[in-house]
Amino acid sequence: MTTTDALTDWIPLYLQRGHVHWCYMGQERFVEPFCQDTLQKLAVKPFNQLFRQRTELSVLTERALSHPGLPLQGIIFHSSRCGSTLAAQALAALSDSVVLSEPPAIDTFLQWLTASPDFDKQAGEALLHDLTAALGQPRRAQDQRLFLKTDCWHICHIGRILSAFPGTPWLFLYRDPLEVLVSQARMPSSYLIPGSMIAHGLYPPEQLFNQPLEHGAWVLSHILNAAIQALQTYPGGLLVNYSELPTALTTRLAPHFKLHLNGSDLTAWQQTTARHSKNPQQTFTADAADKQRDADEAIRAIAARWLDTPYAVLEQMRLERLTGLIN
Amino acid sequence: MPAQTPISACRLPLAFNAAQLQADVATLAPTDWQAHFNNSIYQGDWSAAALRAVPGSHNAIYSDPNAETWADTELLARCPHLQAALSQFACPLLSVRLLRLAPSAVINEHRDHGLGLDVGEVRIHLVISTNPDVECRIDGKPYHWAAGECWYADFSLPHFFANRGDTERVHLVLDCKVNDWLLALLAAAEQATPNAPSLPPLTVAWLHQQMQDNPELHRQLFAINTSDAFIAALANVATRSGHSLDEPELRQIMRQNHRAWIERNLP
Repeated sequence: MTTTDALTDWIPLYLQRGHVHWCYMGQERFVEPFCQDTLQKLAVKPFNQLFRQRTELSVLTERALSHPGLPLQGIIFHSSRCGSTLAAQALAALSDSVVLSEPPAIDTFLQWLTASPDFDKQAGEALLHDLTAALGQPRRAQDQRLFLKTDCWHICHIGRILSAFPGTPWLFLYRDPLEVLVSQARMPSSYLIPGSMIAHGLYPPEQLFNQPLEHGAWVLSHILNAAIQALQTYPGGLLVNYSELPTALTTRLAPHFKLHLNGSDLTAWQQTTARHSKNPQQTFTADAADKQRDADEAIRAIAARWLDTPYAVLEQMRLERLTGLIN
Repeated sequence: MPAQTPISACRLPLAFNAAQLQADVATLAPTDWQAHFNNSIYQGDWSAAALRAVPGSHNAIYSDPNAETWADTELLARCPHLQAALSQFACPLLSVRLLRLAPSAVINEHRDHGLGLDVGEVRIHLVISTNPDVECRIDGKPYHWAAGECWYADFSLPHFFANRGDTERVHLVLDCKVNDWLLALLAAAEQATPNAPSLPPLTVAWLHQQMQDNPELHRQLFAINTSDAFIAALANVATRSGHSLDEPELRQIMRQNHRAWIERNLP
């Protein structure tokens, strides 16, 4: 019995100090809106409290050779609060698909690559591929393909990610940044914490250290600008605005990710998009008008300072592509 | 008689809250304790406090085999948790004492006469406080009696105690008249823990190996959602496979791994 056989049906629970900590997943699925929620459920199981395996990072490489995992068929990058969880849940509703939604281990590993510039570039990208393979194993007979939804700031790492998965189609989903900021003001994400993106190489200007919402807007400006640059640099990108959801999932995302939806897939999508993606007990309602109404002068000023320009550029790129001026 | 093959010692299926009993013991004044009268067989500090004694006796901590009447002492009246512990024994109680063995005290190997199932009177030890370096041998066999546990031993056999640790060992020592309840208790204990002290403990590595050969065991253990049910399942595995279950050790591993998960993002 080799080390990698002993890890069959196990999954990297977290990365720490150069090591992978594995827990048992068995036939469980990622059905929660975020990987983190599924991993939390696994981590508190008594079995996983008693039995953990800890390995070197190099075991990921060995294991990816013997257990390559599901083929990655699409990557969702996004601006946060823009329907990306809805898109991920729609993909997860397909009977043959596994969706990794913001897997924390990928974020940790991207931080490590950022922190150690002398980490050999190719070796780092290979490990990113092998880590994803360990996360995206088939766990049921019908599992055929994998989708990855990254954390919103990971568009800044798109070069690394596409090097690990060359040729994979990707999506950038975004929304009027004023509406994103209103949502963030109501329920802040971690990236509003000033300095929280330093581990990803984003050092905020001094004056933002006591301005969480504006720090968030500054991070968002990096996200939107990285998306603009990515569309000009890498093939295989698709731009979708929240305002086009949920129709664009079937009309634009499905063909881009080479999905061939059958009748039961479409029914599953209708059911998924009818519910609030992060709170399935609630029904989904488009709330752009509500959020526009809630935007006060301060939020409008922050949006104008950091976000109006890149958003306008993205919108122009999207409309040009829609009208076929550029492919 | 269930004890046709005499047992030297066995753990009784009774559970006690050691912390509560320790709290009662902590209320005793230094003058409540007296040095054990049998001073030829021990070195160091071995002392006792009487909880049931012969009324008016000059040596209340002496368990007189010829005495007819025993009564609770004033000291027992001050200790509600000790009283509650005694109330779990549905047999007539004769002498009841606290026996305290101080660090580095040694009780030489000896036999106590006038005790045994054949004479209708047995001695039971309830462990209130102890430490891992307390040495205990009954009829030459080593045991570790943990706090909160209750043990029967045949003290007419040679026995030896030494406290090699640095905290005191306090036992509640009950001399009991044998009745049907006590016989049933001993029979149950004998069946539950045949040779319990010499069984190897169940280890994580052994379980790992076992689950690879037995996917059904793997599946069953993974499906359990509460720690108590999980430990109970492991106890079952231990019993079936001839292991002892070191529950505190397993719970500590679980606690450490869970803490590592909670603290995974700390630098």
